[in-house]
Amino acid sequence: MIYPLILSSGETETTFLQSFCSANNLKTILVAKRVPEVLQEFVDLIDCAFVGETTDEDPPTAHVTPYDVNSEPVAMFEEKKATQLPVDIYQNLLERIISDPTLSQGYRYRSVHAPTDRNVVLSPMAQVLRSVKHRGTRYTGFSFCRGDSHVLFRSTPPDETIEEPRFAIGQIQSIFLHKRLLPDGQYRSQVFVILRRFAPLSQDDAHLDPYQRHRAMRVSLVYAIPLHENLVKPIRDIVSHVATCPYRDDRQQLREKCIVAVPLDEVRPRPE
Amino acid sequence: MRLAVATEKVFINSYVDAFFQDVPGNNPIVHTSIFLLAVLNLFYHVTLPACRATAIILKRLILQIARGRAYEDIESVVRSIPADVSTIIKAFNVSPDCINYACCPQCFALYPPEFTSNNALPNCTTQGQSLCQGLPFYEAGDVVGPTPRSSRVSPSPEYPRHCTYREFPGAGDCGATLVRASKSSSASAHTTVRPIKTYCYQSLHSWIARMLSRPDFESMIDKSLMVNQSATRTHIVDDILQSSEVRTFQDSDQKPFLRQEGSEARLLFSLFIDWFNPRGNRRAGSSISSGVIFMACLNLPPELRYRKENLYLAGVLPGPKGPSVLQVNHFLRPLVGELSDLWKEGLEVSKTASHPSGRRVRGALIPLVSDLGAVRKTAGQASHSATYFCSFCQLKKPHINNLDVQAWPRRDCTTFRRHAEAWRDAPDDKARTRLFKSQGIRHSVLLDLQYWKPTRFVVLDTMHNMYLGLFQRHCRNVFGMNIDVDGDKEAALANESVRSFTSQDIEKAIHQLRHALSPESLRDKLNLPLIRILYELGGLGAPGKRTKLEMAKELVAQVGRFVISPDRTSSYLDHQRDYAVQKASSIEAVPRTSVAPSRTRKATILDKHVLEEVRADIAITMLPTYLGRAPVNVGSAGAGTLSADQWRTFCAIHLVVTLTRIWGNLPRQDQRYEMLDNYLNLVVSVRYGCIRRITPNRIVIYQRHIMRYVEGLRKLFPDQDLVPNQHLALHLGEVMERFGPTTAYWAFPFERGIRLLRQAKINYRNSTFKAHHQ
Repeated sequence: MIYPLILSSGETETTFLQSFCSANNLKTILVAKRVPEVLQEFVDLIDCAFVGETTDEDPPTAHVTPYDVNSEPVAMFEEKKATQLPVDIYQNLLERIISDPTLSQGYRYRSVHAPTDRNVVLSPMAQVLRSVKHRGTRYTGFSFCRGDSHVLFRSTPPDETIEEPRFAIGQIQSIFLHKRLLPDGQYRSQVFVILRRFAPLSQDDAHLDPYQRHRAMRVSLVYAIPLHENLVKPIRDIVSHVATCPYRDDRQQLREKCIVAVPLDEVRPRPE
Repeated sequence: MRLAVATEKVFINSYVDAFFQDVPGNNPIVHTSIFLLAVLNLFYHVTLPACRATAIILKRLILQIARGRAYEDIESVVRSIPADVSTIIKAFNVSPDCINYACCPQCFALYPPEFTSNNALPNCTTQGQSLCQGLPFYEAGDVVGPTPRSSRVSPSPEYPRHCTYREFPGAGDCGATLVRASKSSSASAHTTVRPIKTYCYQSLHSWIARMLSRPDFESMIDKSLMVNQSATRTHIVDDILQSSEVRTFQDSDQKPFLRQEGSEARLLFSLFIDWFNPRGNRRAGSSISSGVIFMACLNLPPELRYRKENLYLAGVLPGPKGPSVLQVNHFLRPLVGELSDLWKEGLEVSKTASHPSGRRVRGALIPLVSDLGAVRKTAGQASHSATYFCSFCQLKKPHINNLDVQAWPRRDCTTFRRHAEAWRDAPDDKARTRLFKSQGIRHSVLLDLQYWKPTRFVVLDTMHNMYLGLFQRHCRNVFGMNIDVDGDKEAALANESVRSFTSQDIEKAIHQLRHALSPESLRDKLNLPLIRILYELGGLGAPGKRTKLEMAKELVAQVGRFVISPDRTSSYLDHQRDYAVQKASSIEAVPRTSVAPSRTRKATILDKHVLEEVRADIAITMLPTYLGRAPVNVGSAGAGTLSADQWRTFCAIHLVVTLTRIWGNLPRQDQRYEMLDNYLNLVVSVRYGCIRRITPNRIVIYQRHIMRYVEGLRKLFPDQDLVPNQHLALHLGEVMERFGPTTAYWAFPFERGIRLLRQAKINYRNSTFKAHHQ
């Protein structure tokens, strides 16, 4: 077969290389601030300018690796965007922080609605986030993107010593950034999610779950409508996304509509 | 600038200063304008003429805005905005430092340019001398002196006229013509000589020096080393830097290489080579193959390691046909030369972001990551279809079904090197062929790196092995995925035919087949059901939609192979009848499938009925946005070629959901349930094989499931031999033990790099003057 000279001369390949490397080098000098000041404001623009690349940037994490079991994104709290949390969510947050020493760090927080005592008031203000990048993937609230809102989460506090912590399937309702005072006088901003859990099948229905015979897959049927109770969890408790598919129960033997939940990413024991 | 000389360390001096130079000029209008044009061209691939037009319009716009306002000398400002993107790229100093080799169109041997005008180097060449070593025409005495940036001139490079490469000392020269006459520019009648084919290679040393001018890069590699040294005490491995192979990788002084030694930077790299079609993946049309050589710096944290600006692109191998297994060494030689320098003497960089007085850098290449074909080509191993098909053990192809792992003869590095050297030193092609047939090993230029272990540093890429290998094979070959096959019709047709025929009928048909004069006569003598029975009995697979004549043609062509005993015929009929009974009494409401009535034929398990169920589930499944979507028409030709990501989604999510729903409640002894169970073992294996965190327990789980899968496959489909990918997957446990999670070094990010490369606009016209951007 006779090819056009351009395809056999190496010029195409040279252009590929020059173009790819020049773009990379331009980006690096921009990030390294080795460009005139007027251009430095374009760093964010260039960071996602490769066509076809994701526009989301991995945020810095507070832990050694972004995939560590306790890693979570670091975010700056913007006071101007803060709004007051609903009372029930605030109460949940308070309970969660008090019950988890890794969050409270020995501090005794009290509610803003509780009688004055020596304890420090936990701020009721939070900044609502539309989405957050956590361990390399994006999570959003249910109303923003349903696919990114179904998650596998730790239902027990993180503990490296526990070989098999417990997990559950849930749906993120919303995400917020909260700032609180720490014992050392510093403030800490931390991302929390409001979750609703998908209930596992009742005993009557459990035997109809064809997925339970293959436990290693960790795929399970759960009821399609999440429970009404709102859970407040730090984002570090979110383990991975979950793919969901409405279960087509041709025989209509299940009490309620169900969905098949396929946990993605990490290998974990079967959810409760 | 001092360049590499065999007896000296490698220095990069004045050249490095250029990385710290500011962009010339001080007018923000000029800076913003040239930045705009550079971004349009480099990031959004706007063509050069379009950029030129944009520059002209932009200049007019600036003048319009400035009209009537008190801007001083705006016209001279506007005049200083270049319209030519090449000029702009030079102003930013972002061109990579490359050397343009002349590449032999026949044998791919490389010839560096020679600069006769004052021995000066062109702008694109900084490391010419070190890169030339080991190549034809190179003589150590041809020292190129320092060339201050300001005094650089651009003489015409000269290349040899003919290729003088010899594969063996006694063989003749290749003799191919290397150059052609070309007009240097449209304004001049002067004719120059240019290579017919070029290979543009980016200097590794220069790339390292450039990277070290970035404050973030330098701090990241230092920090990463400290973090990983502290994290090595646990049994959990999150990254390749924590893996046993890297931690125990020794320097020439027998101490761990990856250690802090004064201010010395120590880098580790992974190497990726692959071939791609620069015109995109086409189902039809011309097949063009260009190659790519990428390296990733493993010292960078995993989340930044594969960002495009942190990848080192050594070169894009010229097409249109890829080099042979021997010829690929030509392209690796410049890189190996620089890696060798980096390991032995190291690289003295005169200035880095955090070390203004300079820093020594040493580095090594560890894992080779690619698909099977490229790995074998690069590492000097036999292909996966050869007798010695495995890069981890010496099991021979005829014994590929052997699942006794302990019985597999292991490979060792010393023996491998010995055989490779024997092959290299063989006097002629005949001797090489003999050696290669007996050992399955040929020499690779990577073996010139004395520390590189060919039997340990070739890793298994899970993207190719699992997603494009195991998953794809299981769907296409084991499950016979095909929307065009209606399993029920096939089964009904088979059953009907079976019910109405006896052994005598079939023997009579075989007799007619043996005496058929032509396919047409056979077609006329036998009816469709009988031909279908013969087709299956003859081991030709499922008839599918083949017509009588098509089947008759294949039967007549294969008639010499037919050995059908009466026992086999009656056994076949019994089996078919059993299946018919089983089918009739199958559980109500269980979706119908065309499960193979005979285990000796290639079945269509993912047939029309099953795929319709799968497609219905795909339509209502909710996936996170980052996952690739399986095509809705999966299983039909229109779905095209699925990417690795699509195979992952289809097999690990959609098939799991649907097959478990329709087969998961069947009795355990039902063949479909057994097939489901077997398939789920594969999915679990893939999940553990691509996990981000490795523990000993997880490796055990992986090995258990992959072994169950392969054993199940042999039991359920005994006519199907294992394939190399399935055998290699049995070695993945040991790869993970040595290198940690495969996601830290798999091919996905490099493949993405190829995709980005292809976005560059080319006009498919030959240049008549110097190459773009130089």
